[in-house]
Amino acid sequence: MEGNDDSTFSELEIDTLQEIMNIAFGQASADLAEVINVFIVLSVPALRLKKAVSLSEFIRVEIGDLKDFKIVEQSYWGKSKGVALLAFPHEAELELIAMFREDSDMGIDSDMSDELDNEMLIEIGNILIGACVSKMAELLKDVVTFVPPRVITGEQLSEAFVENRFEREARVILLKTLFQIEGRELSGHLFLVNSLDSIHTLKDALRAFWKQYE
Amino acid sequence: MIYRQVFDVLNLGLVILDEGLHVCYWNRWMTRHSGFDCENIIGSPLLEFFPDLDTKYFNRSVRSVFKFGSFVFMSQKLHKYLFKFEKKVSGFQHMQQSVTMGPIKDKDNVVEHVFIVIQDVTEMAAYEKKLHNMNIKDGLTGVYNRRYLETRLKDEFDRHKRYCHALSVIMFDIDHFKSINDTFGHQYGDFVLKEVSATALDTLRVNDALARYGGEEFCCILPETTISSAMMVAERIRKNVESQENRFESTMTSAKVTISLGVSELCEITDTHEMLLKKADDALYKAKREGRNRVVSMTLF
Repeated sequence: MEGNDDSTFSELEIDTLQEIMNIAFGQASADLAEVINVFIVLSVPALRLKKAVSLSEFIRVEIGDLKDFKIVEQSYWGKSKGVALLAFPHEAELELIAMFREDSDMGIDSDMSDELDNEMLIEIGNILIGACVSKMAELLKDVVTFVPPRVITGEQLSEAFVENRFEREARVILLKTLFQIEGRELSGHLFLVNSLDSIHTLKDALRAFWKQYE
Repeated sequence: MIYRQVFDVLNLGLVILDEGLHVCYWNRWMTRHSGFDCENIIGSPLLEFFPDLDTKYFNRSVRSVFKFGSFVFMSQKLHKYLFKFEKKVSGFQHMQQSVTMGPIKDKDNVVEHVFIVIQDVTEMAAYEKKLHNMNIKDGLTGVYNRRYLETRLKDEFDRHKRYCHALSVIMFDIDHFKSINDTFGHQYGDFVLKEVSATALDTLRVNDALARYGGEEFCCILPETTISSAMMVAERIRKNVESQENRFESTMTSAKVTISLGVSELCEITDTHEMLLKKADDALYKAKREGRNRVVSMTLF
């Protein structure tokens, strides 16, 4: 396999990583259909290498007006650290909550409905992010652990958000995909941001993946 | 198991299940709160001991841990508790719990077991509830305060815009309240405020919201209610206040209490929630001008 430069990825490595994501998301959506009775279509993921400092601006450009968005944010650790961002426009958020509420068996306290909507969104986000990241880790022979997710508004996705997680000048892998709930007008964006702290480990995992097909 | 020495002194519940939901581990905290000894429960299906756990949510959560190897964070705010343990603290009947579920993988990375960690957060939830209530309720009458009313009205207004459901409000105040205060004293005035709000509350539905707007003025938000239904509700409140004379008898004194009410419904030309309130308030003043102890509605202007 090419790409012996230790500080960056070769084209082949990027293609392999993209292929792994594609397989992972395909498996994740099939398993999600079984677990939550909802078929989620995940588009072919696009992969970018970025400087951490440019992340929030990049996401802002990708999504458009962040004002009406809510974002479920969840950090995870495996061989490298990462953060997943699941962004829903307001309308999709409400429909998603209604859909999951129908399928749950809980009473809702109307005094706290806003707060409970956020909690519900956190649970939905946890399932979707957990499925995608775990499948990705499985293919890379990695084991990941997660911290509890939280909800932020689009406006809170500032530079400070990035600075708390990655060095400003550090390079990160950004993976974006569009997800859609089959049969409903309901879609959102999923971004996975991984640090390149352990680029060697990732390169080894890619090599191992590639070897299966040699 | 050597780690048992640690797990049994934790101030947390720890349960380990296999894929068939048989209990593989049950720490001492769980024994203390459930009353089931680990000797009895280990090896048995968990649902035999806790049939209440056979819910869509619980099954989905366990399935997702086995399927994805991911974690489930169960919020107390949303679910209150997972295991129904008795604990009576400030209005709670059962122990409030924050729960984490996660995978235990074998050396080949296959999820063989799921662990469940249960944290008792009852005291914290009780403080939070108390603070939340202080923030949204009126200290004297116990109905919602004006801050809550304004937020709720805006939410209902947004909902109306989205789903086009009807929305009405009733504004009412106690007739000659100043004179009640001046004649019988402020303590009796406070008593009247409490009794009037309790009477109105008894008349309203669960989804309606009653708030003290200020002084002796109250406001009810009636979601999914047309003006004709809101008029009927208003008339029922008026009658209940007027007829339940014994409700206003205190050890101090007794007065004849009546209220005046103004009703309005959101329509296409009332394009803000403030305008809806203003219409109800105008109707209330019309009721006052027309002789008090009556209901007046404002529809189109």
